Amino acid sequence: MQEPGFLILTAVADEPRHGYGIMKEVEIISGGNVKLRAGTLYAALERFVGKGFIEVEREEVVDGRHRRFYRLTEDGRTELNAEAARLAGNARVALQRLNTIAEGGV
Amino acid sequence: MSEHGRALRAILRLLPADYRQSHADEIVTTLRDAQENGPLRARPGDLASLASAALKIRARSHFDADWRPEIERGIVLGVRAFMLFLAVGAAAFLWTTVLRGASIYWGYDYSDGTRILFAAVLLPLIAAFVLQLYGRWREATVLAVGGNLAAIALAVHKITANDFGVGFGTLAAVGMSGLAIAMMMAGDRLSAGAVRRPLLFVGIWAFPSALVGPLVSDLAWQMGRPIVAVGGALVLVAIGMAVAGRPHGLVACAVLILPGWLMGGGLQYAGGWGYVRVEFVLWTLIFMVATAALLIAAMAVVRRTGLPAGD
Repeated sequence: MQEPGFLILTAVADEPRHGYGIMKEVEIISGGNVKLRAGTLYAALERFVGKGFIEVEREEVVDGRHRRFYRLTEDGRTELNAEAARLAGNARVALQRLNTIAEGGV
Repeated sequence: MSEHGRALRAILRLLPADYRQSHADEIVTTLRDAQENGPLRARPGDLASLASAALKIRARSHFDADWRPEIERGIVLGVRAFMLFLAVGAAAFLWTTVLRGASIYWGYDYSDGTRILFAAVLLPLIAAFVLQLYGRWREATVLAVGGNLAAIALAVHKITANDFGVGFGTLAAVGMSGLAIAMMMAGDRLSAGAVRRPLLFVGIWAFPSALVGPLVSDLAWQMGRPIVAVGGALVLVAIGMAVAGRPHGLVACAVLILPGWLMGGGLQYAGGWGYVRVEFVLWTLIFMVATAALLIAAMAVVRRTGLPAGD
């Protein structure tokens, strides 16, 4: 899974969010390093909805603006869990090796 | 509407119709939200990103869920289209043979002075194309069978005159056409109405025809190159029409590719082997203009009348 996809799933993991809400949350989660464009967001949402990782929770129209709120499904939660564990494993190995090098005085 | 608004609207049209219907407002809202409730001014980067996403979503909608049945259907359509191609090739033989026969009987030499008759070669091709487009399979089949029978006579004549290349080549083409016609008569018919999933149709149709076309119609190199190039361009236009969700235009385009190549082949066949003349260049230009005119006309007809009922 690519980073934007991972961040999008993470953004809707705790509560349903609409398009711009997801974009903002991704920026916060990534510490400002990832700024999603609308095209990236909607291509990913369409793919994740197709795979059953995300579903539409509700829609609302306020002041002529149509917003659709997305939330993580059970399948999405499983997928995000697996991906997070994989990334955490990689990060752990990287940190261990960096520590080994540091302790060795290299 | 601002230029940005127009650009955004144009890009949203790239989305598949059903997705656009349900998501366009939402996407516009997201863009507006991102600009903190200001007037909608999508930045170039946003527009490019949306265009890329639209093409991805469109591609997925084409190929994801019903991909396997589409492959099977595409193969069936391709085989049927190939048979149509062979049948039209047989129709080409009818008239080239008639013209050859006339030249032999009256002592004309096709390479000198009678090339004006070659235009007649176009008539059965266009007739067969129109007949099949409108579902008149019986008449198209009669035309093709007549072409085959006439071509057998030509083949025998050429073989007895020790022109084995043309003779046996013609017999081989007759055999292929005959097989196709027999299958068509058995009820396995191509319907233009079936060409709703056109990418596979065009793809499967274009490649074998590019390979076999020169063999079937004696397409000589000097005439063949520009004509194949035009055919290739038509394939691209057809694919573009498919991507743009315009199956009618695509069908009109696709059905012209092979008849177009065969027109050139028929002309070259009537002109004999190995001639490189100004007339061929002229004919190629005429062919290109005629193809464009036919394309426009066919699209207009199909748009006005709808596609023939089919499977």
